[in-house]
Amino acid sequence: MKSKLNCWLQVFCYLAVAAPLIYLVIAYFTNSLSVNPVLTAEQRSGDYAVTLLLVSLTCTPLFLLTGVPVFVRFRPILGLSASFYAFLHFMLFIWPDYGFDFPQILLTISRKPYIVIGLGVLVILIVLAIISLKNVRIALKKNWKTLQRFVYLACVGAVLHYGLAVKGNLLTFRGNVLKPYVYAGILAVLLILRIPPVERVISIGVRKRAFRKETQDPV
Amino acid sequence: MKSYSSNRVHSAEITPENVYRSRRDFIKLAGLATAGGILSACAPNSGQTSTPGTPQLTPTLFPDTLTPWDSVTHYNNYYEFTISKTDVADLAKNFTTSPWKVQVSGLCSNPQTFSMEQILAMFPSQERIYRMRCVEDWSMVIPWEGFPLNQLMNAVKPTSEAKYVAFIGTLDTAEMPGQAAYNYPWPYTEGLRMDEASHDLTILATGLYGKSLEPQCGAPIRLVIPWKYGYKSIKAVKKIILLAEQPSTFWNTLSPNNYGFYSNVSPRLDATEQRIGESFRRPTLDFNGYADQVATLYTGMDLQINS
Repeated sequence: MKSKLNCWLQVFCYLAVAAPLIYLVIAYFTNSLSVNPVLTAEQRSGDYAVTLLLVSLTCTPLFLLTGVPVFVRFRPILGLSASFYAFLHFMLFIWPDYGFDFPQILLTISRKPYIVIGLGVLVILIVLAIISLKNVRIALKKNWKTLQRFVYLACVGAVLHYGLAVKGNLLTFRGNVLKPYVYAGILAVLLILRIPPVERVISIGVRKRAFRKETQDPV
Repeated sequence: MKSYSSNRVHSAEITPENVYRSRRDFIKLAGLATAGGILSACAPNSGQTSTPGTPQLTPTLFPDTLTPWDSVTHYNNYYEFTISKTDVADLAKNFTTSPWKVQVSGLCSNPQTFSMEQILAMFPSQERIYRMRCVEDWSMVIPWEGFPLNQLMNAVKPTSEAKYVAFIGTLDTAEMPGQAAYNYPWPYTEGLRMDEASHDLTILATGLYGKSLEPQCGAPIRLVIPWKYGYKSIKAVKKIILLAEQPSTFWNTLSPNNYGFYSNVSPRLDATEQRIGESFRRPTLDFNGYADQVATLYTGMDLQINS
């Protein structure tokens, strides 16, 4: 019974992370990505990547709070799909948008320094995707966990990249900065929840579970 | 009053479609462009006899075709309604554009408030096909109907102290839901130097594709300055004020480092843009292709500093 539920949850999770891609493809072929589909797809894919990164960061706190292991089970697929959308975002930028015109791409990067931050985030996410392979993970042993911590840096970079890309001024809070600030606020909360002392406080569910196990398991 | 309506250029006359169709040709053209721009002389000729001094779409290396009406009216930056370019048309459709008055005041000897009926009667409209370059790296080619701003300014007789012209948009939180967002300096404001405002290319547009302007495109009356980024071309103008000092402008107030007062297109060379309806980027032209007509306005000015 329980495994059947898990199976359905797994299907749901895969569909959820694939949905934005399916939507983008359908929208492209039905001409509903505005009259400027490249720019729209670029912005949407970037938005999906940031959103999925933040969703993947909610997994551990939710597990600690509830003690339900399902939450951590889907963490890898959420992280990997965030990497995928970040890569798609990058590919849309260099190909349909810039037609692999690298001198022009470099010129654009020099004028829009937030792209450098985005590239840094992409590198981290690709490395994290590679080390998630089972064999690499085993080979890395304890270093794997240390490397995984770079995901926090990637999240900060991704939100900053977004905030600097929109039209407006982050410092004076004017222009289209509301959404990036909402993302930054959510990220701040999620990061605070991972500070060890805070983590201990919120580990209610996990403690209960451990206690239950101790008292129920006949030794 | 002279009318330019006889110079109507149909899209098919501007560009033989086969000329710009394929990506291969595009690349070849780009290669030749860097090799010396010799092709500029071969740009397709509209085959029309033009009145001397008549502003027309300057022939360019990469052929310009009219952006379809549907694209022009369904991809709009109009933050007074929403920051979503595709939602503007729907949100703006009930915007009250009549009755409408434009108040012209400030340093002039004959300040006046014009009703739209007066404006349309006093200043015969002409067709002007202009490139529109958005700061977001996309562009369109739009057949406006309108009249040079200098005609309206002559009617109010600016005094010699008038050095700048300020334009003020509509403040109407009831009809413009986007104005509920407090982190923008409403109403929209724009400004031009006197010589820019008096330039014959600068128009007040009241129509599009031979029809009256759609609300999402700035109805009933908007500014169009083809050599500056689109955001300088303020929509739904309510007030025009002649001033001695440079006025503050919407985007410059929001983010001075990114949006200068002048905002001429591509003062930095080698930018590119996505022409709506095309598959790949094309080079952005200096002054959006109007350098011959307007570059002299800025002689001796460093446009990197005065961006």
